[in-house]
Amino acid sequence: MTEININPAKQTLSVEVKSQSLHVFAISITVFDTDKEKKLEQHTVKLDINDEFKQVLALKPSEAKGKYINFLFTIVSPDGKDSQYSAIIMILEDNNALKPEIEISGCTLYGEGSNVARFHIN
Amino acid sequence: MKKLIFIISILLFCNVIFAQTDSILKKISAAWGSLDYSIPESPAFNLLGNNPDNLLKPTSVKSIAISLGNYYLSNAAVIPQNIGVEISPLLLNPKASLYDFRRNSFWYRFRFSLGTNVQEKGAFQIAEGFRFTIIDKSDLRLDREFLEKLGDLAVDKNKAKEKAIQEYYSMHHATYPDIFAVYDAYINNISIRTEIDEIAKKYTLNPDTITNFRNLKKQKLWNAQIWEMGMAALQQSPDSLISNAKFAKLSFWSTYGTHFNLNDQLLIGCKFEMADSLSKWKPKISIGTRYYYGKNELRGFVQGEYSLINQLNSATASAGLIFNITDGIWGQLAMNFIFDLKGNVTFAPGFNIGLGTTEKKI
Repeated sequence: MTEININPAKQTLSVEVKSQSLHVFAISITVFDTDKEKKLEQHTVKLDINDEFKQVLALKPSEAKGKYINFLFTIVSPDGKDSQYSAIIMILEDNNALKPEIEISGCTLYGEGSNVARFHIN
Repeated sequence: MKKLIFIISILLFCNVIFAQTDSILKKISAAWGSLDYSIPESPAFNLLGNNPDNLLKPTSVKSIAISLGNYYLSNAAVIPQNIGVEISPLLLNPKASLYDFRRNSFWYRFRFSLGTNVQEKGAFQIAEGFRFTIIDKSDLRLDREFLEKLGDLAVDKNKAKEKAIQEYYSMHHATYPDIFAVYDAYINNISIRTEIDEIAKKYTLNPDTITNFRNLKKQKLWNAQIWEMGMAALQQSPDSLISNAKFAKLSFWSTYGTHFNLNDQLLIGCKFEMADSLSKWKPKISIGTRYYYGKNELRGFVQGEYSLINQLNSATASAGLIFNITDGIWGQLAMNFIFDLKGNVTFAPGFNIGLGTTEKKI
């Protein structure tokens, strides 16, 4: 799990996802409370080939401490290959942008692959 | 005949090699979007002159397409004496991705062709050509609706998985310290992933598979708007010596296709040709139209064409069938009636076969 620091002076917390996979895929962003049980919000969006999006979270930076942001990716593959796919996730706030590479694997012909990534906010 | 089989084997084998090379690359190959559309003659093959039909039929690009035949039924010939090969060099590149194709679709659709024809007493013709696509809405790779559908399916599956992971965690609360452990198990443990995927099925709103949707698109797009242009040059030799080959013809084509409903297609095209006749270059202009009715896999057609060649103008009326034999193999049966200005009618039936890269299916 990756830990991130959020600047509480900011007005909003946002997540930007850039696809470098050249694939169509979906991503669910779920914010969990500090107890890891309660879901505070969830967004599911799709990305086109080489697309990107920015999701503004309802979670306020001032209330973000201790919360978790979980990402679940699913790729659908229109080709016939067993492949590895990657995407870059960035948490956009102050100067502490993180760029971990998330590998998504397991796609087969018209199949799908999934992976998860998670951040704990300090 | 052995040479012919050898050439075809090499070409098809090349495609297998490229496909295998592609499997180690971490991209979607641009070639995946090739749907099993009919394989019409290439410009080089058309120029060989074994067919009275001067209309260049447009089709969505394939990595490799081979035309065989046009051996007239009246000759009762069994072994085809002519062959045409058309390739898209960029689409053959195993490193080409769907993203590359979408950025440079004009060059990925650019095709070169080569055709040869063996005539009586060892005389032969060889033709080289190219064609390019100006409009092609039948191409799945650039079909917005298909890509949107892929995204919708991914979203649907992702939402279903989220619900299934939550349900699985509720069912096995004592086994896992928190839900994050279930997320990790879903990724790392195949048996748990299988269990969760089974639960996810009941939350999947859209049961359509990509395969079904792709087949539907193929039926819908085969007659979509398309416009292609081509050019070819022909050399002819009176014997088997290539050094004796002389430049004999040069042709330009342009064909536009559209439809009125799901089951038809109208092609309108023209051809301008300069041919060497007794050391004089003579122009020939042909205009024609073809109307298809049917489905992608089986359709009939009627065609009318008028050619202006100095004092030898002629009209051609044709009817025939295009049919899919199996994945990547197509046949065309045509009956051509040629009317000249003196009132003579010539009957020229023809049959040819087209082979192309196959469509990737489950």
